Amino acid sequence: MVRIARRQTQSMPESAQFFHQTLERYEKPLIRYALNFVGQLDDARDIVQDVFLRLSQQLGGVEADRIAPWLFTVCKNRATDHLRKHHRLVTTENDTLDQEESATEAPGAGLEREEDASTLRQLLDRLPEKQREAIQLKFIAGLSYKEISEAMKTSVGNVGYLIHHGIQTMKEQWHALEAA
Amino acid sequence: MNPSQPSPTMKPEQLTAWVLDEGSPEERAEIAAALEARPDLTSEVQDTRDFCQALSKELNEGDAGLTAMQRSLLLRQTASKKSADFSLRAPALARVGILRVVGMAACLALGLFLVQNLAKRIDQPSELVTVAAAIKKADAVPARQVPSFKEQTLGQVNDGYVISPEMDSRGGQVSKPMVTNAMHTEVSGRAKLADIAQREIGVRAMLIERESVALSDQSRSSEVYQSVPANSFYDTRTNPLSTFSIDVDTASYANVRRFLNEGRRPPRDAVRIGEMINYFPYNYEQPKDGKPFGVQVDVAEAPWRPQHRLARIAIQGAQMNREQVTSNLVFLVDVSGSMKDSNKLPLVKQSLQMLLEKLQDNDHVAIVTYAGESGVALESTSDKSKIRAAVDSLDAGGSTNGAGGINLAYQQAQRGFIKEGINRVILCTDGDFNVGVSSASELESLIARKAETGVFLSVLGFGSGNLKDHAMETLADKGNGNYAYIDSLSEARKVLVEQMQSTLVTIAKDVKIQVEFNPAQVASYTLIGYENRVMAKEDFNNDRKDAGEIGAGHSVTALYEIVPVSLMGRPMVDDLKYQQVEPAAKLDAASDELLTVKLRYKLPDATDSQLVEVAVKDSGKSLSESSGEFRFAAAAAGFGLLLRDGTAGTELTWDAVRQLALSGKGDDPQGYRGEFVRLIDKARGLVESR
Repeated sequence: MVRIARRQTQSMPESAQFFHQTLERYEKPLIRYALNFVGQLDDARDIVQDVFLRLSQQLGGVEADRIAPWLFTVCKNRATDHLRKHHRLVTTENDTLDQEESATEAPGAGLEREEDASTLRQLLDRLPEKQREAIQLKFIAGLSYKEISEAMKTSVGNVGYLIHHGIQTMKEQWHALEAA
Repeated sequence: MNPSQPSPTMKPEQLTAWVLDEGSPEERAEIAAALEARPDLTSEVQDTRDFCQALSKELNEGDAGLTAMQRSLLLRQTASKKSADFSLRAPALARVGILRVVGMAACLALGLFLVQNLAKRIDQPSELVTVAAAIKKADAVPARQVPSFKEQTLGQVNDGYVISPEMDSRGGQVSKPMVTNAMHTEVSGRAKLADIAQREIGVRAMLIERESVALSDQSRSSEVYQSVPANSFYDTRTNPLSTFSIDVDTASYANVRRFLNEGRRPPRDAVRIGEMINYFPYNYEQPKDGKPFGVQVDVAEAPWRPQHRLARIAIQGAQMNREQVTSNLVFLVDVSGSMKDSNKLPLVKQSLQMLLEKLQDNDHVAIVTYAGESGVALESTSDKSKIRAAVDSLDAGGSTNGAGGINLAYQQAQRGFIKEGINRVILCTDGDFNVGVSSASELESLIARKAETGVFLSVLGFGSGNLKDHAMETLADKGNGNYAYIDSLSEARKVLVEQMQSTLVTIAKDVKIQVEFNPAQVASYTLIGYENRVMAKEDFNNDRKDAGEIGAGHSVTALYEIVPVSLMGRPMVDDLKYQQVEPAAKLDAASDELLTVKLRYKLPDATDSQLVEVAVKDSGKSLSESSGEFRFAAAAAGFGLLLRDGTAGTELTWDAVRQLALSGKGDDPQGYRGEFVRLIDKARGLVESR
């Protein structure tokens, strides 16, 4: 009896420890990432809790070195589900469409110049979806290009392209606003 | 120089990647060299770097993590998870794919195999109906092959029936299709068998589909239970101390009863064995010498492993004279739309009306409601007719303006505060904590702070489908209160009328138990139940560590299964070769004591704890020599063990539990124990027909 119990506790810490480390490392980035979709901290927390709940159910099914793309993919899916469930996706989609069109307008048009911080976020929001997603995965999640390519199911080269163009567009618009 | 064409060998993307520390060392070295040759690019690179830093700073603003409750739930969840859980699923699906192309003979053989597995897998047959809806969407399922199956089986499933043919081990053929719940189907001949095999493949696919649906629906599946791993046996020589907090909650038993009455097997983690045992009032000796409670320890044969001993620690809280205490109660009632069901708000109202009958003239009651918004439905008053009218007019969906419901409730409690009386907020909900505090941790700390000021919190859970079991239990713990689940009017009567004193009057708080086992007598031991109440041994003497409360007249029972030293031919672990194990070297062989129970508690308004010690010898009682109360507590534990599947290697059967319960039933004036025996039969029917 005791021996059986021991054996269990010996193998257990490995996955439990892995889970713990993953939680430590990605909890906050995931919440920030989820916040970009849902806006409300409580919602973001629920989504991230759900992401880790899934991870705990699928420990052993997820490879350790692909954990980051997995986490952020699941997080995005859960966030999207959440928006759909709360009937907010429709408006988000409309916004996105508008924004992609507006990106062709004069740089910085319609933006408030109150503070750089919120301006940067607005600029990011105006990027085409793929560029925005790649940049979020790079800057919020801290993923490598390779990990981003796995999460977005595209090539590493394309990730480099998306991030570069996203950054350049934002940078140009930012400078244009500064000069204005 | 055009920055978008930095050099013929360098793409602009590479520059950005370089700034972001991307690329292999070789690539990075190449770019660094190229940049050396192009000093005109320095400002461009710096500009991108500055921008990236600003962007990174902005996007990573905010330090919000999960709430403490969310984290601890996740960590505990994982500690108990088997990692093989998921990886088993994919091959199973593949197997279904293969089955579609194999011949009838193979179908037959595999079908039989699956039929057996199926019977084990279906624990909640009624859920198959929802799966059937999902199956229509699933391409992987051979739905076309079994057109008649769905209609037919669904008809049966709707009624909660499951076919479970048994295989004759000798002939390898179905000799006797066992049909549960009196569904009559004649099955004979190979064609029919193949047909069944086909159907079962369909069902199997459905089940797999259901699992993945359930998985993707995790966040929406709204009843939440904390995963609790069972306690294991500890070696007395390395772990002589066992420490835990008492628990007077009874919600788990009532919730399990609800599942069984609905014809469903409760989820494993909904079964908390400590709460099974403590649901029942026990006839223990009243404490003497004005102590708030008495402690009694008995030892007898363990019913499920007769070679082991079972130690029962029985704690009996003193009865109080009801007239001496005045109550100031605030009911915080969830009136959101989801509370409309007849087993929710209407039951809350009936429960409260019952409680009102027991109140005395100078007792005060206030009612605060919350839904989208919250408001005071009744200012604290002792006017019974006003209270009655306010309870009557509670209506689901209604809401008033106001700040957070919980703050309003505590305000009311403070306003009517009775020194040396009962001051308590009683939260009545189906699981929605939209009480005006934003995060779970904030809510917990608010409740804990208020408990320090003398206003305690109890939680009454109602209804089904949305029950946040663990969250409710945690809130009640933080608020020095208890958590009960009210599934019926009779349960409301038990909690609010018959056991009103123990529900409302706390006689001791932060009650902790530490048991020291004597290694000369006890080889190893395990605590049965209380899994989520186990504390570190250092916490026992730490008065700042929160623990369970005990109410007036409450009894608390804990059971230890003990492996006596005399049973062990050889020690669990050999003596260490390179060091002397000190405790082992100084065994007090002269002591024939089995164990010592130490108990710490605080009086309700005290901050320092007091200690009680009881040393126990084993007089070698057999089960039949033990008291009826002892046997009944063992039956309740056995019931929980069977439902949780923690019975490997034991002689525990439903029959044994039933007999044990009957032999310990006693007078049973309220009929709780008789009901328990009926529940055993229900559970047995559900579990054994799987």
